Order: sequence, then structure tokens, then C-alpha cells
Amino acid sequence: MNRALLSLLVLAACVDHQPDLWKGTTSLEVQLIAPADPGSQTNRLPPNTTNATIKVTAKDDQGAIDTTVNRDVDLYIQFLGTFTPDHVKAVPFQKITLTNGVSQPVTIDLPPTFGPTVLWVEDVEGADPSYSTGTSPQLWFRDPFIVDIQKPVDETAVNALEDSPLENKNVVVTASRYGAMGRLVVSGVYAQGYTLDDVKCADANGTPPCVAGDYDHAFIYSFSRASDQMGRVIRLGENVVGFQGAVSEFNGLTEVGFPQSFVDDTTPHENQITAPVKVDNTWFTNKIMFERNEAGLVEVDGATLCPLDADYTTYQQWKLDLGSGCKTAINVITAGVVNFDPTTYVGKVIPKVIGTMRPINIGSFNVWILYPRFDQDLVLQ
Amino acid sequence: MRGFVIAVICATSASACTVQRDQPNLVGQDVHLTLIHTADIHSRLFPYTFVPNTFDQGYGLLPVNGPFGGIAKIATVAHRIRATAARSLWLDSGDCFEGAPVFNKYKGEAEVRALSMAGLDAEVIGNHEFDLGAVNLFYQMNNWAQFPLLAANYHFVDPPMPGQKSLKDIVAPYEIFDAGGVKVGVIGMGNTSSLTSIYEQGNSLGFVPIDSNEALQEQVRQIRGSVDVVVVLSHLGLDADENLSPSQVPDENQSLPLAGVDVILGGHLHIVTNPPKVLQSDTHGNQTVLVHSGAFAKYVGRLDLTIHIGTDNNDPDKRSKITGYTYTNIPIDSKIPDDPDVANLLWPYSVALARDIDLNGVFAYTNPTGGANINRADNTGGDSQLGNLVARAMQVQTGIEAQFALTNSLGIRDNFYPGPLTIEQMFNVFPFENSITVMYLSGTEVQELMDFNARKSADRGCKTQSQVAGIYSDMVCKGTCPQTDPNFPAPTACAKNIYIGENCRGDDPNGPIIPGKCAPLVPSALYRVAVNDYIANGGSGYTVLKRNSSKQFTTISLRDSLTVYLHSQPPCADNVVDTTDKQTPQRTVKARWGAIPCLDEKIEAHDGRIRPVFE
Repeated sequence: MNRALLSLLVLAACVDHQPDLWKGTTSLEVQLIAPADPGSQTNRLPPNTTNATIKVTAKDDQGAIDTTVNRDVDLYIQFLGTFTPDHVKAVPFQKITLTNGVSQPVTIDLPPTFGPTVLWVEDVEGADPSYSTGTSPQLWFRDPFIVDIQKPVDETAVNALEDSPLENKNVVVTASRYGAMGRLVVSGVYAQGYTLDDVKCADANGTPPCVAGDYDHAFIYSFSRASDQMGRVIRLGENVVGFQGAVSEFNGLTEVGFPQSFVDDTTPHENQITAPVKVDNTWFTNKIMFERNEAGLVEVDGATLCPLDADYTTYQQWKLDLGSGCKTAINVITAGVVNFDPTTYVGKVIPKVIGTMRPINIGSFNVWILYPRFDQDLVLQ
Repeated sequence: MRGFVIAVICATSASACTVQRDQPNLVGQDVHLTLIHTADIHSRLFPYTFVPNTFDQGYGLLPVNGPFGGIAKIATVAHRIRATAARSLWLDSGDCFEGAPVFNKYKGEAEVRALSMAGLDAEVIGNHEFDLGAVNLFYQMNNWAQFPLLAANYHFVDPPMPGQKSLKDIVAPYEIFDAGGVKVGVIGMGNTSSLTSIYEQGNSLGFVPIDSNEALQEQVRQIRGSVDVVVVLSHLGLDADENLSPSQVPDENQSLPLAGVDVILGGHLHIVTNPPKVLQSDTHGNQTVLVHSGAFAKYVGRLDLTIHIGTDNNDPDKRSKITGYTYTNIPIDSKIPDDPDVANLLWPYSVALARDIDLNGVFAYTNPTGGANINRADNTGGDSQLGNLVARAMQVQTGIEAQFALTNSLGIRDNFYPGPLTIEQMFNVFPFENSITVMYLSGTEVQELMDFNARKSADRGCKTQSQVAGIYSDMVCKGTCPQTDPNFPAPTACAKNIYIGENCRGDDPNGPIIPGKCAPLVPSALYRVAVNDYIANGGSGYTVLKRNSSKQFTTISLRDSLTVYLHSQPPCADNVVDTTDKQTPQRTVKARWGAIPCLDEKIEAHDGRIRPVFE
């Protein structure tokens, strides 16, 4: 009896009180099988790279294969600072099955991705997951252009006017989509940010004239006066060599928030700023035209200044009738920027108004607003 | 024999208790580390009511789920995160002090005790930790903290009394944690921008700042080889956090102060950076992930990292590094249950607060047309209605009777919302124990004061950083200004058309000064001015006030002066209905609360006292 008691006590004392951390899976190894060359910062993957093949292995705390793992692990694509799909929703991009701790090679059809990208796997499934994670080597896709931020996936979609394919991503834009002939030119400077155009100039020296296409415009929202990496105030016509920030849709306006802007040469090149696009009243029935020019320079010619209403008393916005009536008008804000009193021009034709254009969609309040930059943007006679 | 058996059992059991297991060998593996992040809790230990703005709602704080915040709920979230994380640390970016009555009464004791019980692993010093002085901070942390307090960029001087303990004894530059085999070095970077007095030798806080970049480089140099992950726990503010990174301008001589830093967890500006920012930190392709997780206990940040454990943490190419990350911002609302331990700890504090301060006491009713707020910031960027109210209360306070009053906009921390105005709301508006200071300024100094405001405001989107009563001016944010220093070009921001008086623009806030209605500023004249004691001491950079030698510190709190001023307003009309009353039919304000004042959109309305101008 004493011997039995002794055995029991010894066994009881042998209970391993090490934390669970040291049991089972410690890590997930993600081996990249294809592409064979994941690229690098200076050698980006070719544009036709649309998938990747990986193999996942569960490892224990000694780095050996944890053969006890027979369950799915979740896979997400991480690029531009966040997961695709959104991690919060806990619905992975794909599940990968491990058998005896190892998966078969799995080919992942990637969504459109930009910049350094990793395939993240995590063990969170089942009754007793290890919460271990692992990532593939970085796959180096090209950095996004402004057009990638601005252009909706489908121009005919219901939400095309208020949807960015890179919403909630931290974009890093390092170049013009027009290559050597391209420039990122500051087209407007405001108290809380600036507008930037991706333009194609006549040659690689940036010789004007320069032109921009649809969706080549971005609003960089800095909250306070925008400055570059050296603390210098961003100025009209400067060439920005790159910027980064978080993309958000703020009441219909795609904006890049908490930005960092990088300027090498502070010489202003105002002659690289593109000519404004003329707005006409057909845009109100083909609203994608507004979206294509969001944050870009536009021009309204020969419109009539509408009677001032609550938009003016509340928000200091006055309206221009382009021929469709004052209920289908473009709003303009000049307060604090241009020395202009609209009360004396009600009912009169304003020969020309230039400004960058931004939408505001709050419930039933849906307007496009012109933001003139300085006195010369308003031609009164 | 029986004794022999027991002895054998004990001896055998003792030897059997030693379980032979290999130490983990994580080299070459991808391991998971979760950082729980809070910042700027500002004494919001108890859930509170506010109206979530667009951004808050975007981050999941829905009005229907209020009240919000509360440390017992944060503790629950932290426990839940830890339960779904292989390895975790909870780090706080400072300013847990100041912002609710519990701090005014208990001086930080409740905050430090609650965070300790909730399981916080480390905190960096924020500027508001010093609101009741360095001695109070030392006292609270020394008595109650069960977590290290960090600041690598403060050089603490010896206390005046030999042998006297002080912050120098309890503040460390860094702490190294072993998170399940992953070594995490956490370096604290305390705030410097909002503690203007620390640049003076012999200041009352007992330390002087060390250049943040130098301090950081030194600490990274010390610990980089010993740890897998370097986390900077910062209360410098976003701009400063980013300025720690190198520019992308090629410069061989440029130092790389973030080299070796993997993560920055920041605070001070009360913002959320989701998605996180990524900063290029060295020439080896290593990057730094930068996160800010909001304020006022509204959110808990969760940063999940996959870290590839390297072979040599001294070598930038071979060291451990982050290979992937994901960040979630978790809203703290009423759907989250309280952690019972933390709730029990705080219960006596809440009882005593309810006993000693009538936080729910109603003394006025906010009733602007259309259910609008009385806002602390006007959408024009100029003077605001609440700012005007505060400044007016200071100006006309008995015993003050100044020609004009000026207070900093950021000293007013909340709006008045429609409905009953409570004592608690007054604490939300004025969390700081600031009081009125009276002084005499020459006209030239008034010009300097208003110029300073214009320059500061121009850098912040042309939104005025001061609120005033009894004075009017144009705040030129971009224009032609006089050259004040021959060594520098003329500034582009300044104050023009400064007048002393009332209603100087008539009914048009955007209009010019009406001739003869107010008196233009006279450079050689002397003006009696009321300001708050924070800016009177040079806070927020108001050096023109700091150097003044005629100051009288009245100790009349801004909160009290505004309360007195509101009490003096006419009572609500008999037929004004309390739209917040849940009875049917709703009672009138008078029936429910008695003859209390009504505050409409006209009382001290925005009237162009400070008019933003772009020339």
C-alpha cells in the first residue's frame, strides 16, 4: 500500500506546470514555392504576377514539425498596412489544411496588391488553437499610383462615387504612372491640405505642357498646413517625389490622411499644372465625370450666381447655376481665400471660376464643391 | 517506519518535480507577439457619455452603445486579447492623469491602482502626469504602481535633500520583457513639447530634457543586441514620432535615429492611426511600424506582430525583425462587461465621488435652436461660442474686471450638448484646475500676444488657438506682415486691426470693425488682462505672458467663474420643454429642474472677435 501511495504521489508531482506556450505549435513556417524570385525594393515583380504558391508547416518550440496538427489555418494577404480581407471580420482570404503538421503546396490567387506584400497565416481555428502565426517572404509588387487610389473598380457600380479600392490602406506612392515623363505636381494649397496631380509632361525633363488623365488627382489632408519631410510648407507647383498616408472616404471625398510628403527640389513648377477641365451641366446626369475629376482642377464658365440660401449662411457656400437651375448647381467656397462678396453678384453671370473639386455626401446633402485657390481663380468680368 | 516512508516520498517527489525540458529554441522561427496599446486615458476610469463624432463612429463607437470608456472594461478587453494571443504585453503611452473629477479629487491614486490591477506592463510619462507636480507623480507611482514608469529622454537631477527619494529613483529609460521566449525592449520617450518649463535649469519638475534622437539612439545602442524587438513607447506626439525617421532625401551623412526600432506606440495628440504608419528606419530595409490608439479610454489598440527570430540581434541583417503585422482598434462601450476585480477596486472611489461632488447636479439648460451644441470650436476657425462664454466669464468675474480676457482654445476640452448642463459636464469642459491670472500688458505686448496667436493658428489650419472677450482682431493666416526681426524674413501670419471693446463688428462676424464703436489698440497704453494661469506661466509658448512681472494669481478657477457667470443668466421661459425628459408628456425645464438659466445660440455667439483672414 505504501508503494502504491508512493507511486501516486510521484506521478502527481510530475505534472508539468510549464505554460501552454511550450506545448504544441510555436510557429507556422510559410515556404514560398512560387514565384521563385519574390522581387525586391528595386526589382519589382512583373505585372502579370497574380498568384503565389506556398507550403505551410507547423513547428514546435524546438523548430521541429508539430505532427499533432490536423486542422485548418487561416490565410490573409497583408499589403499597404492592413489585411485583405479585413482581419476584424475574422473571415480569412482562404483556409489551408495542415495534415500531420504540413500542408500540400497551395496556389493562392492574389487580389490586386501593391507594394511589399506577405501572406500571413494564423492558427486560430478549432477548440484549442495555438494562436501561432507565420508569414511568407515579402513579395514585391509595384507601389500604387494616384489612379489606383482614386479609380473605382466599377464606374457603373452604385457606390462608384464614394468608393476607393484602397480605402483603409496606408498607401505609399513613389512615382508618376507616366514614368520618366511624369510628375506629381501640387495643383492647389489650402489651410488643411493640398491637391496633387499625376501629370504627363512633354519630355523627361518635365517640360510643359503637362496633362493629367481621369482619376489622376488626390487630396492630401494634413489637418494643419501641409509640410514636407523637412518641415517646409508645401507650395503650389512643387514636384512631390512621394507621399504616404491612410486612404479614407470622408463623406464621399477620397482623402489621404496623416500624410508624409517628400519633396527633393522645392522649386515651384506652376507651368506644369494642368489646364482645368471644363464642367458643363451634362455632368449632373453623368456624375462619374465629377468622380473622374475629384480633387482635380476644374473650370466653370458663364454660370449664374444663385440666390444665397442656408448653405451660405451655415457653410459659406454659394452656388453656380450652369443652366440646370439652382437646385442642380455647383457649390463654391471662397471665404477666407478669395476677397469676394457673393451677395452683390446674385443673379449675375460669373465669366469664369476655377478651383479644385471635392464632393460632400452627408445623407441627403450631396454637393460638389469648387475650392478656388486665389483671387485669379475668380474672373468676374 | 512511517516517518521513513514520508521522508522517501518527499525526497522522491521533490526530485520528480524537476521536469527536464529543453529551453525553447525559437531561432529561425516566426513567432507571434501581441501588443496591447492604450494612451491618454485621462482619468476616464468610469464610463462616460458623449456624442461620438464621424471618426469615432467609423471606429465603432456607436451612439446607441454608450456610455463609453472605463478602465474596468478596458481590463476585460485586455484579458480577452491575452486569451487569444500567444505572447502579449500591455503598454500605455502616458497621460493617464487628468481629465475627470476622480483625478481632481484623488490626484492619480485611482488611475495608478486601477492600471496596476488591470495588468498594465509599462507606461511612459506623459505631460499631464506632472499636472500636480513631480512630487505627486513620484508619490502615486511609488505607492501604487506595479508597472515600470519609463522615460529615456529626461535627465533627472538630484533632489535638493540628500537621500530624499524622487522620480530619479523610479523612472527607468527602458525595460526588457521576456514574452514567452521573445525578448522585448521597451524604451520610453516622455513628452517635451508641452512641458515648456523643463528647458530651464532648476525647474520645479526636477529634470531637463535630453535630445530625443540622441536619447533614443543611445538606448537602442545599449539594448539592440540583447532583444528581439525594440518598442518605443512615446508621448512625443505624431509629428515628433515621424521626425524621428529619416527623410527620403539621399544624404550619406544623415543619421538614422530609428535604426533598430521596430515599433513606435505613440500618444499625446489623441488620434488614431489605423492603418498604422510605416517608416523606413534603416538602410537594411528594416521598417518601423507606428501606431497611435486614440484617447479618453475610448479604444484599446491591438497590434499583432509576426517576428522572425534572427541569429544575431547585433547585426541589422541577421537580427530578429517584424515580417507581418495587423492592427485593430477596439471600441470600449457598454456592451463590454466590467472586469470584476478592477470594478471592485474602483467602487469606493465612485461612492466617495458621488458623496462629495454632485456630478449629476443640473444648474443650466443648453437649448440652442435646432438642437445644436454650444461648441468649443467654430467652423469658421475664428472665435467660438463656448470660447467666448469662457473668456467673458473670466473678464467679468468679480474682482477681475479686466478690459479683455484671453484663454487658450485647447484648455476647453468639450462642448455643451443640448439638454441639462451638469457639474460633470463642467469637469469635461474644464478638466484642468486652471485659474484666472490678472496682469497688465502694454499695447505693444497685446500686439505681440495676438501676433503669436495668429502664427500659431496659421500652422493649425487657421483655427484660432485663443478665445477672447473684450478684444477684436483680424487673424491674418497668410498675408503681408511687418518684419519684426531684421534677421528673419517678415512673417506671413500676424494680427491686424486690433480693437478693444464690445460688439465691434455689429451684426456681421465677417464684417469690418465699425468706426467709432471700439477703441483701436494704443501701443503705449496699459491694459488690464485676464488669462488662465497655464498660459500666464508660459504654457503653450505664450512667452509674452510668462515674462510679465505684474501677474496676480487669483486662484479663482475657470470652472467656477463660468459656473457663476451661467448662474447669472436669466432663467428659462416657463414653456421651454426639456426634450431629454423620458416622461410622456415631456416636462418643462422649470418643472423638472426649477428656475435654471437657458443657454441659447445667442449668448456670447460667434461675432468675429477673432476673424480668420487670408490676404
